[in-house]
Amino acid sequence: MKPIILVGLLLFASMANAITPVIRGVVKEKENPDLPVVGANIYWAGTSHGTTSNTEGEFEIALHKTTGSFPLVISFVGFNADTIMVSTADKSLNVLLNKNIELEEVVVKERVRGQYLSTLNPIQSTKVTVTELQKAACCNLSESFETNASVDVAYTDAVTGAQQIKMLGLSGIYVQTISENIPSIRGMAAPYGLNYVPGPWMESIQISKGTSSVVNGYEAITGQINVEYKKPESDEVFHFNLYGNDALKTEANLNASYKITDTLSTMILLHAENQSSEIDENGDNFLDMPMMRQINFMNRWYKVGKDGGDKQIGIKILDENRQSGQVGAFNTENSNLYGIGIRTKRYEVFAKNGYLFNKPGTSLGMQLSGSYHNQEAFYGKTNYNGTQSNGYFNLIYQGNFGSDLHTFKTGASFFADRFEETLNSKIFSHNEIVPGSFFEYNFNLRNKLNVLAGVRADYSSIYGMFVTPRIHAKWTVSEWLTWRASAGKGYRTPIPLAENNYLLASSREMIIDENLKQEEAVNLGTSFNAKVPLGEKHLNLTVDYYRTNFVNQVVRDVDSDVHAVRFMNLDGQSYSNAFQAELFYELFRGFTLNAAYRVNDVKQTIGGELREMPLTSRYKGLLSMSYATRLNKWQFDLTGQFNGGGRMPDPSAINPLWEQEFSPFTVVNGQITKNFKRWSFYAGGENILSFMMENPIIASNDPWGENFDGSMIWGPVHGRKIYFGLRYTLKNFE
Amino acid sequence: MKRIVLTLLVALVATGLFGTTAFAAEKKNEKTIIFKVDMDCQSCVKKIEGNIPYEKGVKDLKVSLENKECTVTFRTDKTTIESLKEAFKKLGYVATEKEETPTETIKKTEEHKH
Repeated sequence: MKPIILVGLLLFASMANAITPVIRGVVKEKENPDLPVVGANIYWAGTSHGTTSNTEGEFEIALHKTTGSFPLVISFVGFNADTIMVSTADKSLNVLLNKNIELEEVVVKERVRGQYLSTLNPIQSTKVTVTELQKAACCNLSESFETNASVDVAYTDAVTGAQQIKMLGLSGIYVQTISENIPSIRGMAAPYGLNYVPGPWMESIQISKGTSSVVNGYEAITGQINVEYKKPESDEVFHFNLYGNDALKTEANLNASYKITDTLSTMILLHAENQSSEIDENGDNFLDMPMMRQINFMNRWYKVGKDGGDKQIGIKILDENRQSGQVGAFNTENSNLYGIGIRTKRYEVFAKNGYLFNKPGTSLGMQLSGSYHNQEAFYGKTNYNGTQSNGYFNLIYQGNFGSDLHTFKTGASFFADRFEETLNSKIFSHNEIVPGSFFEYNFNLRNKLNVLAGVRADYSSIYGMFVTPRIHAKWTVSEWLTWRASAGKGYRTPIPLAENNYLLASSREMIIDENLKQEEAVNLGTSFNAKVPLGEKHLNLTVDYYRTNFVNQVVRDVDSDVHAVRFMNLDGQSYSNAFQAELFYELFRGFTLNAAYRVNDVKQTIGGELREMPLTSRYKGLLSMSYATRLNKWQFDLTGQFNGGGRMPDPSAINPLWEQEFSPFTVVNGQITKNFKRWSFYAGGENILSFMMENPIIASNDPWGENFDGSMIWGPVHGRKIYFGLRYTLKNFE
Repeated sequence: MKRIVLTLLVALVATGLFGTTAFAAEKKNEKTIIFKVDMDCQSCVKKIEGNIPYEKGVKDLKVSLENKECTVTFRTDKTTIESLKEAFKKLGYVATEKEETPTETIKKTEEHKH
C-alpha cells in the first residue's frame, strides 16, 4: 500500500509543481453595469480557494492549473450566483450578476439541526446529519435511527445479533439501502449488513419515504436509505474514536484524509471492534449478544476534474467473525453445546465519474461497482455457506428543455447478481442479469410546484420485462404549508435463504417453495408539513400516510406449523397502512423536542386467511429531547421509544410455549457529550430502564430438541448497556 | 408505560424551567459585542466557529457571513475586547468593533448601491 501512495504522491506533486498564472476580472450589476459589486465571493468550485472583489468590483485569483478550464463561482448576497468556465486562455473576466429579488430576506444562521426534512425535494425525505449521529455514539448504522420516528430497528432473533430495519411496518428488505447511490445492504448482506457501516464513517443518512426515484433502480418499495460516507474533500482531516461498554465491547475508529493537490485527495476509514466476553444476563445459558470481531476498511480517491466534473474510485474490505450460542460452546471441549459461528468476508470496489458539459445544467454521471460477499456459517449442526457476487453500472445523463423549469435525467443501468449457497449438502444457485433504462422528468416552478415523474423499463433474465412508473409531487401551498404526494411501483427478487439465514438458529425446518415470483408492490403516500409560528420559533409538524399494496409477495409463514418456516407465494391480499404524525420544536435556544406517533396496520394472507403481520408493533411513539449549551460545549440527549404490542406467530395448540400476543414496551436511551476544541468525551446508556424479554429463546434448555426457536423476538434481548468513548477531530481550517 | 411517559414529561418540564431561567437573564459579568470581521467564505465561518468558542471567557458566538459580523458574548472578568480581537487576528481576520447604529438596515442597502 505504502509504495502506491508514495508513487501517487510523487506523480501528483509533479503535476502541481507548475507556475500558477493569475486571472483578473471585474464584477458588476447586470441591470446597471456601471455599479460594481463590492465584496462578492469568487472561488473555484469544489475548493476553498477564493477571494473577494474590492471597492471597484475588481478581483484577482490564482489559476487552478496550467491547462484546461475550471468552474469559477461568483456569488454575493442578493444576487444570483454565477458559475463560469475559466481557462488559461482567459486573461480578464467581466462578470455581470443578476439581482435576486426573491432573496431579500435575511438568512440567520442557526445551529445545525440533527435531522431535518428537505424542503426542496419533491420526495419526502429526512436528512440525518453528523450532529444527530453523534447523539447515539455506538456503533454502526443500526443505532443511527434511534431518534428517527420513521425507521424502526429490531433484532431478528435472540442469538445471532442480526438486526433489521422496518419502514411503514414492513420488513427492511423492502427498503432500498444504498451507499452514495450504489447498492449496498441487500442479498447476502441483508441479515447482518447494518453492522457493516460504522458510525464514525458516516457523514449523513438520507431517509426517503415511499418509492423514491427511478434513477437508483426499482427496488425501493417502502423507502430508501442512502448513506453518505465521509469524503476526502471535506473538512475533517483526522478523526479518532474509541468506544467501550460494560459488556466489554471495544471499538476503535480512525479516519484520515489527505489533500495531495488542490484537486486530488484521498481518505482512509478504518474500523475495528472486539467483543469476546460471554454475557448471559438472563441465565438461559445462551449468550445475550454474540462475541464479535470485525475489521472494516475503506479507501477512496477523489479528483476534481478539469471540466468541473469529479471522479472517484474506492475499495472496501470487511472481515467479521461472529460467535454465539450456548455459554462455553467455544471455550470448552464439550461438543454437545449449541454453537453458532458466522464468518463473513466482503470486498467492494466502486468508481464514479462525472462530466459537466458546456451547456449549463447538463452533465453525465457514471456509477460502477462490484462486490463479493462470502459467508461461512454453522448454526448448531446445520452448515450454511453462501457467496454473492454483484456488478452494477449506472449511466445518468442530466439535461433540460431550455430552462431550469423543465429538467430531466435519463440513462441506462446494468445489474448482475450471482448467488451460490449450500445448506448442509443441498445446493441453491441463483443468477440474474438485469439491463434497464430510465427517464425521469422534473417540472420545477420556482420550488412552488415541483413534479418528478419517472419511468424505467428493465429486463430480468429470470422474470422478463417489467416497467416501474413513479411520480412525486410537492406543492408549497404557502410559506408555512407544504404538501407532498407520491405513487409508484417497486419490484424485488426474493433470495429467501440468503436473506433469512439467521432463521437457521432454530429447530424449524426451512421450506422454500419452487417458482417464487418476483415481489411486486404499489406504494401510495401523501404528507403535509406545516411550520406553525409559536413563540419566537416555528413548530414543525409533519403528518403522513403511506399505503403499500403487494401484487406479488413472498410470504414467510411461521404460523401454520411451529416446527417449520415456509416461504411461499402470496395467495390473496397483503398490505400495510402507516399513519404518522411528528412534531419538532425548539422550546428555547439549545433545547429541541421531537415527538412522534405512528400507527401500523399491516396485514397479510397467511394460510388462506388475512391476518395481522406477526411480530409487528401496532404503534410506535417517540419522544426525543436534546439540549446543547450555548457554544455546544455540553450536549444532553434523551430518547424514549414507546413500542406497541402485537401478534405473536401461532403457538402450538397442544403445547403452547409462548403467548398469542406481546405487550407494549419502552426503551430509553440517553447520552451526555462534552466537547472541547478537538476532543470530545461522551457517556451514555442504551435501554436505561433495562426492559428485556423474559425468555427470548424458546426451549433454550434443549437446543437440539424440536421446540428450540430463537426467532420469536419482539423486544430487547439484553438489558442496560453503559458506554463511554472519546473522539479526537482535526479539521483543515484550523 | 404511563409512569414512564409521566417521568419523561416531568423531566422535560424541569429541564425547560431550568433552561429558561438559565437563559432568561444575561449573566453577571457578561457582555455582548458585535465585531465587523473581514471574512468572505463559508470556510471562514467554520474556522471562526471552530476556534473562537474555545478562547478563554467566550460564552456565546453568532456568525453572520451576510453581514460580515460576529456577535460575541464574553465574561468581562476573564477576557477583554482587545484579546478577542487578537484571537481573530491569530486566525487571519481583522475584527473591528461595530459602531452602534440603529439604522443598520438602511446603511446596508446603501453599501450595496455604491
